[in-house]
Amino acid sequence: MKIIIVGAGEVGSNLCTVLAASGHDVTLIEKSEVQCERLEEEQNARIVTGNGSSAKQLVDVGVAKCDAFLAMTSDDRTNIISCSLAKGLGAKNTIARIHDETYSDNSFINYQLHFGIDLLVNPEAICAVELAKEIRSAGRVEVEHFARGQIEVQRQRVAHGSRMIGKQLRELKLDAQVRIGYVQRGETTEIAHAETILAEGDIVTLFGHPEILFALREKFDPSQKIELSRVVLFGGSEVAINLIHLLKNPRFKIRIIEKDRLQCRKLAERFPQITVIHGDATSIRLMEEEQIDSADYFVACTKDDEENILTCIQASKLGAKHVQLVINKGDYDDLLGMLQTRLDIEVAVSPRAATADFMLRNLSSDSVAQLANMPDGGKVMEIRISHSSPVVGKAIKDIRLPKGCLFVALLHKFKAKVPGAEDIILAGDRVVVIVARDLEKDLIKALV
Amino acid sequence: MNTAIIYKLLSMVLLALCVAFASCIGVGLAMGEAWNDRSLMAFETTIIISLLLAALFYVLGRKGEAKLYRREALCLIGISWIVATLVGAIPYVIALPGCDYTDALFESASGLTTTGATAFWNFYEFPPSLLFWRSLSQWVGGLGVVVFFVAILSSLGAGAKILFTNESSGKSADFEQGRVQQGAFALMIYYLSISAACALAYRIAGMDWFQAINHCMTTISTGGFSPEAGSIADFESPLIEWICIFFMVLSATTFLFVIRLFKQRQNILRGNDEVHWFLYILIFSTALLTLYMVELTGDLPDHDSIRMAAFQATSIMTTTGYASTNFDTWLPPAKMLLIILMFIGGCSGSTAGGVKVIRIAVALRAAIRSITHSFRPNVTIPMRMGGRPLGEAAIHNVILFLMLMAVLQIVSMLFISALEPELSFLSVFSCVQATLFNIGPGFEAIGPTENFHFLRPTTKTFLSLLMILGRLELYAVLVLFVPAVWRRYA
Repeated sequence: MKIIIVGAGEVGSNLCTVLAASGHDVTLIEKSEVQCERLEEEQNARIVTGNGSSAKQLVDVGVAKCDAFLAMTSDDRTNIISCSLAKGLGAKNTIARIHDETYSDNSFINYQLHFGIDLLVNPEAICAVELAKEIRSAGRVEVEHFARGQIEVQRQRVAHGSRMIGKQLRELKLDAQVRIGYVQRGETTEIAHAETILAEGDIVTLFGHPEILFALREKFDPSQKIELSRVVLFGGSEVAINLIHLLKNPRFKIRIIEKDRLQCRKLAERFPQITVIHGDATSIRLMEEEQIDSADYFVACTKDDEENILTCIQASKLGAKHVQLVINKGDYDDLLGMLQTRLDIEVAVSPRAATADFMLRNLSSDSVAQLANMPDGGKVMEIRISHSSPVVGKAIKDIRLPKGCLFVALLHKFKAKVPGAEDIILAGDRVVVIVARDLEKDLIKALV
Repeated sequence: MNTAIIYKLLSMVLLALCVAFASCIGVGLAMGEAWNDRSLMAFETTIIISLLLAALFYVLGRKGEAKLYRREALCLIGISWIVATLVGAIPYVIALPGCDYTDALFESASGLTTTGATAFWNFYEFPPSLLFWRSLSQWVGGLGVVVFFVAILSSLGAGAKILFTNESSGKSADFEQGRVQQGAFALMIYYLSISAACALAYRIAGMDWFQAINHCMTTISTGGFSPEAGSIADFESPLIEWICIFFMVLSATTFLFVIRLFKQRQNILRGNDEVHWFLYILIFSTALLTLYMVELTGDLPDHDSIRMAAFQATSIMTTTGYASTNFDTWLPPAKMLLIILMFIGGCSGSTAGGVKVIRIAVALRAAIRSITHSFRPNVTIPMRMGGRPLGEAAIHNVILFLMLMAVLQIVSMLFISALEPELSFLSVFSCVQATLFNIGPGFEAIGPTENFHFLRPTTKTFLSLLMILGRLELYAVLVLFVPAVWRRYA
């Protein structure tokens, strides 16, 4: 596949390495000459010095024949211009990296459609989802995230005392954003339907929006109180802002430590519900003052890897229960495993690795990707609906899936939702499906 | 240093050489040699020796990681060329009764580096298989011993790029393909196709197949070995000479430029300064030589004089070294012109030797700039080459390279004149020049009708090293003599 990447920062150059290693023909456009000289030696790709948002430059590198165009600079506007131009000049698939939520807010205009970009990807948001996954779903049986955190699948036990026992599902009046997939009773698992009656001890598989699912939790198991989670973030970076968005629920008490006074003011004005502290988390006095020992989660998400690692070790020593961090540089990849086992750091995420994973999945030519395994041997698959698929233009209720398979999410362009019976599948959409054991082949036959 | 990867790749270089030797056996059989002839036995022995060496290197390098940094890449190239030269000399030693090992070494180095100087006065009496090896070694060396693998080994990743850049005078940055492997592969395809076209043209022009293939391999690689006693002149065919001129020019032109021309992505008139300079110099010197010949004979310029001038100018400037006439008998002005052409050489990214037109062009522009700066220090003069801006570091590198070449030339002259006190100044000068710049023939004692046989063994060994130095543009060989490269922490 012919791929053009604009911008050779941490994200862009790592992407280039990964894609070139998997056999793609990669061209990397970077504006700094010094950087290019270094890249020329490190990358098995064509390195071009130039401006990625100039049409002449793009024509020179053969944008019309490229299969994927990835704008990965750290500047949103450059990325958007590049992608828009590339699309206009004939690139098949254009993906822009963005940081600013301005461009993913579609209430006034749909930026993606307006500029003709196929996909906007935010590596910091992907990281934030990874971090939030642990924080949001502590104590749940089994959780998986799909569609960039917009949809969650979890398994939940129906405990003694739940008011749901003995009722048909249709009587429960669940939110439209949530669906019950399977009900497992003893050894048998069956697909839930409107007449299914829940009994004590059943394990149900739910999917839907994460916060709504969390609210439902109490109904299934009244003994579980909603507890407050104290979260301390170090660094007001993009990852932190995305994480704050994901942890909007009032049960999270967020405290953020940021070194820059101006950034502190901005954060405080933007998120009045959180506590912003101006200071440096590398100072032990500040950490003690802010009672790190009673924090449930300490997340280091500054741009500086070394500070992240050290403050995490410090926090863990001071008694923070769970410690997570962001690693930006690729050079520390081999250290991550060590951090996790020896230093009690639970989650380490990196924007570059997250982007590379995301792109590889997105650019892979197979229309089927396996996202996760279910404990009972089933699998969660993402399937791209091509133009030749038999289900194009059909409503969900008219599609006959093999018994034991369920639609979890429907991804149309940039939006993900739990599909309802009336929703229609279009070519180019992607669907997330739970497949029971051994039914993969039948499912692929039905959808591809 | 990661020596394991060097061993591993060396064993592959040797395996590829085995394939080349095997093809020589095939040609020998086809040309009527018998299995138990001395010449074929020589190739069989060589194959066994290189297989054993390959096995040894493979065992030594089996644990190698596929990580290649500059140091390893440069060492690998330097060592590969030296090993290939040593192994390539074995067939001469075994096949020729009473052959001196330094003669064989010289011939092998001259072949692989596409120099085309010979140490044998009776090479035209060689058995066909050995003649074929002589030509084949030039064809292999033209593109590079290591480049052949860059295309095949994709596991090397970006390391392949460093290998390519250091072995060939071209830059991988000019490839249209992203992966250097694909780029090198495209070059190989181009090399094969112009070779085929050249062989076909020779065949049609009247050579037999054996002559056509041998000459095509030495023309396209700008090597200059000919299986005929009197080189191209023996055919006495103007058509063959014109075909030869055309293909020599083609092989000394930047390959990627020609590929782009074919694909119509490039306007012939625009875009590549180097090719333009090359053609201007060639046409200008042809005109000068024609003028000289007209002056000499007093006739008007006719077809013969133009052809002769064009042939000599092309053959010398592309560093091929075929002779259609004995230019050693020419008067000093013509000889001086040829000496200058020898220095300049062909374009970068082609098979030609010399210091390359692009370096001369850059150095001249830098010189003009420095003259301008001497009286107008504040003016900013843009430096561009081939449509790309030239960084100060690049200009610096070019000037340093020219200086290193000049120093090497002068020091080697001192060395050779000490070893061979009976040689004239011009002989010593052209001895060094003909080998360091990979040309082949020189003047006086080593003129186009002479050979290097009479030199002392030490001289021939030293000249062999000079040829490899010149072919690899110094650095890959010079680093081998830097102790810090071999020390663990230096």
